[in-house]
Amino acid sequence: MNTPMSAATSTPMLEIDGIRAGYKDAVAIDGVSLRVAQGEVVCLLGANGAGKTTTMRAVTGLIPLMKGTIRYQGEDISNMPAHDRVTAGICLSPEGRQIFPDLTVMENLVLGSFNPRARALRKEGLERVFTLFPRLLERTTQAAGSMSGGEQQMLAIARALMGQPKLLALDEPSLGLSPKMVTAVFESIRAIASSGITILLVEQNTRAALTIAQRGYVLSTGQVVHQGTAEDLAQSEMVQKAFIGSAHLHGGRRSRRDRRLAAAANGAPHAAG
Amino acid sequence: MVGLLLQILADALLLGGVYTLMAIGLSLAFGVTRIINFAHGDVVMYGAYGAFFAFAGLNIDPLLSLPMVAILGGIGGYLLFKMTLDRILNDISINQVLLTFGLGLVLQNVAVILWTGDERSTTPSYAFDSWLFSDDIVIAKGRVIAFVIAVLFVIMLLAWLRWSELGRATRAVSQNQAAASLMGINVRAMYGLSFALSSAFGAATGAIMSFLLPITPFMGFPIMVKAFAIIILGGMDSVIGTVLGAFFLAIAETAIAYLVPQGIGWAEGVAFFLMVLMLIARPAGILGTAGRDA
Amino acid sequence: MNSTRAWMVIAAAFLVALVLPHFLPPGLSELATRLSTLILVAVSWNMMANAGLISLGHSGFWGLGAYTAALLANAVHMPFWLTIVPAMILGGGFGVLLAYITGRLRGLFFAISTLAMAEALRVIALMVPKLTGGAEGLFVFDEIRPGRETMTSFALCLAVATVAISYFLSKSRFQYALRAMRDSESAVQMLGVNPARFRMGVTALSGAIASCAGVISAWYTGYLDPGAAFDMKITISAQIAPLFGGLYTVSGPVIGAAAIMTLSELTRIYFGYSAGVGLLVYGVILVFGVLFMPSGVVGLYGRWRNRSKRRGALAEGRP
Repeated sequence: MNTPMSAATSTPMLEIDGIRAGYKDAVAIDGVSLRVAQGEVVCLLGANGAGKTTTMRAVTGLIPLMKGTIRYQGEDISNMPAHDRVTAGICLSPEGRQIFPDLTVMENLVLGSFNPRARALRKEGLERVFTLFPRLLERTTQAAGSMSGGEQQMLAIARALMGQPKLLALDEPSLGLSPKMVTAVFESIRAIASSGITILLVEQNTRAALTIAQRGYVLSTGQVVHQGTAEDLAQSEMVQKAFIGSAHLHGGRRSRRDRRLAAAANGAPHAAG
Repeated sequence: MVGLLLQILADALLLGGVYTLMAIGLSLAFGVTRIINFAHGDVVMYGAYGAFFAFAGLNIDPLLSLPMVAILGGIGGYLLFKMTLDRILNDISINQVLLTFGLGLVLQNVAVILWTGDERSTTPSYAFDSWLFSDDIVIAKGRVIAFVIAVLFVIMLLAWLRWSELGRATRAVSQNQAAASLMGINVRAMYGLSFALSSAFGAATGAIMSFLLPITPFMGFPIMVKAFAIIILGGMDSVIGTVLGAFFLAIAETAIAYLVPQGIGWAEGVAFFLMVLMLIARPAGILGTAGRDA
Repeated sequence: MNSTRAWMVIAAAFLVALVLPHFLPPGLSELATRLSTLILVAVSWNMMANAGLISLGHSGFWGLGAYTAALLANAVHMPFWLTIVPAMILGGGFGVLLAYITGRLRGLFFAISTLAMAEALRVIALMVPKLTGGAEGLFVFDEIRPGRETMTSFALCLAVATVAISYFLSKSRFQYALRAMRDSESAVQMLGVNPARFRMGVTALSGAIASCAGVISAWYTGYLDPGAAFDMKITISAQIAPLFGGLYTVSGPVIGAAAIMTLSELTRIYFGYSAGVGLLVYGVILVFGVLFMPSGVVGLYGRWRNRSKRRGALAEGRP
């Protein structure tokens, strides 16, 4: 795995500084800071409700910031509307896919390249996407809503790619997919990463995420509680504590300690030491 | 008997064309913005007056003044949207309802003050002509023209929605606004566009109405209500559905007008009864997807 | 203000309602009656709006009440004060029907349904002349019509009663359910309230009150026809009053009704019966109200009070 050489010297692709955001009056994340260098794959980990999706929404402009700044390629985009961020190169494959159900696969993809920068490169975009996801090529005229979960996830990622992103944001790509599908999807993500696109990945499936990310941040109840390289995170206690059970980190067998931690997390009377 | 049936069919078909015109603008705007424009009927009314003044003052046939009327209507609709609705897009729906309702009142009564409640009409020759088939069936020329224009409009709209960038973007916004903005689509600008188009269609409809109905400042309200009924019947976010709804209403009204004693009076209420029935049975309409907890 | 004071105010109001009309000249008497009917529909509309239900068909209740009163008056010579009962039953029943038909539809769909139902009633009234006199209208049996003062007292009493009901509702536990319903009907379930039945209760009560306005109008003017009884203007006024005075509040609809009535009279004085001006003003108020004054006069007053309080606090050196 190559470490990003120029992280310290060149402008980071994305710089989030102490942001607070939420819905209406409820604060979901507070004081979140993170950095993504060009060409990196960075993951955001955390349990359900930790604030990962809220962070993604703030980055892509779907929700406003209550406090803090977001810088993209050195420019402050905190107040930039969502559609402008897409044109600037931030493309999101949202949580739950959010494809256009009554439009065909092809129409979904074409819409992905709606923004002027991507529109000119539409043909190349389609070629790239069909190479990465041959399954989609077979179903171009099919209504997107009638596809399986895995296919829809591929479509969502492909659609984001069609926007010619400099920063590709992926929110829970493994959600609701079978393990086989997850492997396939993450293979594709790895291929995308190796083509040089910067990736910010939100995932509950820590194991899968850490196989392709170089660095990561751990969120818990709206705050960053840990960060480090992928190796650090894979072994860190904090990461294990942040989840109910760490079975997916160690591939199946749970140690007694893990079981005790899991029981404590589930509310058993005698807490873990 | 066959003659009567054919007449009913012919009348219903032609009426369906007129109704399609009335509803299509409203359906487009609603499909995208989920805002019902209560002033839609009044936009149609202004279109009719526009065509009237072009006819009475400059001797321009309504079909010729139609494009101009449509363009002016579109611009007007866009400006109205920009000055009012655009500012309260995030407000609760009650405010949106009251606002467009108020706009309708203003539009209607400005017309009353300017032009009084006297009835006007454009009177191109085809408004009075009709064709006679087999001594039995009367087909009004004016209505046929309206039908043809309706077909043209629907085809144009469908083509635009299907094949143009903005048309595709419009469909995207009506299906999933958040995802649409993630495509780089400026949803707010799309709202403006939909209202502009909706008003353009409305005004064009008015130009056609100018030789089909008496023109008064009050003509807008029944048109708006019927347009609602139609898009509820046909599904509030589907162009084809609107067309089906229009013909469904037209058939029901025509059948009742001919077959029920004093049918013409009752026919006026058919739209409401059907609306209520449809709302009980299937709020999404024949083809639509909007509905519960809207 | 606590309960006893509230009851004292209400009692005093009733007293005024009974006594005042005897001292009013005919013009003011008419105004008072019209104001009362406006207060009734305004409070009623506000009640529904409070639950997130926008009614565009309030004229339906009015017409229903009016025709019920007129028909009973003519058929069985029912005295005016008694006609309130069947009118309220029918109005409430119509409200229940509305709730049943619209199921869980909200906002826009509910609004359109109310419009449809009100218009349907109007068409029915128009199309069964044997019963309703059709387009030519109906005269209320003259001999049993009460005198002007009695009628005005009656109207004012109903208005007081309505505001009282609205006040007590606002202090009751239902208030929370109402607020919850406005945001989301599922939220109401968390409070242990059955949303469907609660909605029915709101529309029934609202409808019953609005029907009373129709009853008053029928007895007062002595004549009705479908156009007037189901007039869109009724719905419009019912909306503007609370919007202007302050949506969702108790005093809002009353203040708004008074303001609207004044405005309407002023317009009439300055512009005569010039067609369109009155409604134009209404329309402008609606538009500007929504754009710039969404919390109405009451809201403005509240904001002004807060500002003065804050200024006072600053002056005294408090944060």
